[in-house]
Amino acid sequence: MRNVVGSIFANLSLRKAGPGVARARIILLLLVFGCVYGVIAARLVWLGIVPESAASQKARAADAVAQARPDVFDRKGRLIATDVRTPSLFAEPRRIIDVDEATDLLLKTLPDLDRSDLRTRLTSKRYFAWLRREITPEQQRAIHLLGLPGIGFLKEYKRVYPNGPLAAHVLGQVNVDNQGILGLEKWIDSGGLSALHLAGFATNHNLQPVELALDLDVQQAVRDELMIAKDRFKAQAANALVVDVHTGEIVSMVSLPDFDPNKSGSPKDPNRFNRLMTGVFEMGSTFKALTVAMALDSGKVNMSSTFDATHPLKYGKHTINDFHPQRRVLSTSEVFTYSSNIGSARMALAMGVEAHKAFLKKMGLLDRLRTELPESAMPLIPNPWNEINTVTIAFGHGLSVTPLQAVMATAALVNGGHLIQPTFLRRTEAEAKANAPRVIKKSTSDQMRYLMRLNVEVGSAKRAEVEGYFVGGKTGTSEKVERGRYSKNKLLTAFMGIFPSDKPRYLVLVMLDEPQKEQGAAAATAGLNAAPVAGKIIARIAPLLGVEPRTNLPTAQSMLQLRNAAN
Amino acid sequence: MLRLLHCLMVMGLIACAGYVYDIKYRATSEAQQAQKLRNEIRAEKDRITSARAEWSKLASPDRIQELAARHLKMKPVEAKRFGSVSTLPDRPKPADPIGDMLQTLPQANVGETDQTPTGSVEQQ
Repeated sequence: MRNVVGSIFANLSLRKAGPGVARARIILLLLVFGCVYGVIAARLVWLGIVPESAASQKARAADAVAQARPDVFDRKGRLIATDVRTPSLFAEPRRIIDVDEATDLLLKTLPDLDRSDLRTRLTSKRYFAWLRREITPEQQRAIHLLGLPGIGFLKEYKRVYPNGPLAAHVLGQVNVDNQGILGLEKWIDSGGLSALHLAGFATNHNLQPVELALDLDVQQAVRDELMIAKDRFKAQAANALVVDVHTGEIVSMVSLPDFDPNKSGSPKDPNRFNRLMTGVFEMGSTFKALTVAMALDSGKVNMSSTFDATHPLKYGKHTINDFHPQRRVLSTSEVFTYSSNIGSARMALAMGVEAHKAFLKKMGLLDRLRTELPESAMPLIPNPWNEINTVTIAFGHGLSVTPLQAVMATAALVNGGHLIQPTFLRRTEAEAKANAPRVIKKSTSDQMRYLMRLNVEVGSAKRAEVEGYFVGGKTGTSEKVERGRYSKNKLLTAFMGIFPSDKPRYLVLVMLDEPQKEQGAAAATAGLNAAPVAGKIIARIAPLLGVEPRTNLPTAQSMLQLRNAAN
Repeated sequence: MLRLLHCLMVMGLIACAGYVYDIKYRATSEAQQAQKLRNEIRAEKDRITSARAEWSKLASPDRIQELAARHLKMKPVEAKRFGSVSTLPDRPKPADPIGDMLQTLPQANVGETDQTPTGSVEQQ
């Protein structure tokens, strides 16, 4: 065919020009036509190879209403957040023929709709009006069968948290457009999901699910016990953390009061405030564990060193007193078990201000702690930091840190000396250790475990004892600052517990904000509220976490002797 | 000669057009079928998601705890309820009640039983 056309052209032009020119023209024409057909053929092949254009893919993604989010699972693979596509009912009022009929029929299937409101919506002159967001598939089917013109459905993604408020503060929340605004949901968005959404390519079937370190059963046990404790001690707030000391995984985190992430609400609502990560507190005597560890690790102090607690420590206009005054010279372990403010202050002073500061810096207590969750707070550090600050910080006043930070530092004291960043995601021990600097000697860590256990056997944390799990820990009661002064009756009590103490696997922090004195109790100190609550929590979660109960466990004293013999 | 060639070409052209037409329509119907299946898969996945969400809601630990407290007479697991293999007692000797009974029979009785074989041919 090409030749036929070519020859016609050639015949026409041959009369005017010489044979050489004609030949050149023919070749030129052949080339031009060849190119055109070549392009067409290539385009055909291209259309055949590429199955769908980007445009049609985008249309399909848009149909799925772009804001899809990945599923979230707990450490045992249980679903804790997912996207469900729910139909929403809308009307195109201009296309509705019989408003009365439509109103009656719709009210039959959705009886809780407001009649007059529905009528105004249907009679309006608009092109589009929502009638009901998120209806059930059964309702959708029923309305579809009514066959009303001008009534339609749109499918929307809706974030669903099947466990309600159980892990609210970890998960956070999404807004109406399914964008994360709090907690883990916000972290998910920051990981490139929002870019996917902009491109319109995110549906919930192609997103990698997020697997948390959280254990739902443990979370439920902890939350249940905390709710009981919050009622029993009429506390303003109750918080708890359970952390694996070897991997830094946060197995449970509860901050009461909490909220139901399924219900929308303002992110500024105080119940949405995660006190364990966004609040900074003076942690009180639980800090003495750090002071003692610092002293032991320096090598200048050993278990039998003595500290004079005969008299209150006078420092300028401040007087440091003990809550359980012994009025005598105390050994290192007695300073810990009697929770002596004077003793720990003397211990810190013996180390010096700079060494104290450097130690706390090393333990990560002077910097903002970042985890996956966007919530974090900067510790409140005294400036200038004088001797009086070292004195008070030695027993946990004058330096405010987030509870999670304190947990990270305490975990390092008992896990063999590695400072491990806490995480909400799954992590193996090897991964955790790869990025965990050694902060104290292994021998110091062994001694700290012994001290923690001793404190439960004979010290202030007796009520945290749980048969079979070898619990150790340190209580802390701090007075809250009110109008610039320490208040005597507004307390913050905390218990930092480990189990089993000979080979710690988990650390439990329980914090109660302004617990009230119980009927018949002497005080509202941590030993009387936070410690027994922690004991109850440990008794419930230890079997869930697979910690084997043991009987005939050695006492703390024999544990230390064994350790000394081994050295 | 040229006419025959033209005829052949026109026929070939018609055949090609018919073939292309057929392919195009088959492709369209395949595409429609694929789209239909894709929609079905998506609907199925959506149903799976909502079923999983519902299951997760029904199996939520707080709900289970409430149900257990209401319907079961079970107690929380205490440490003393755990045992280890080493604390288990030794396996009892294989029980043989008939053998034991025979053992306790007076020896004299054994001798008094009738030695005459019955019901079978006496072995040589």
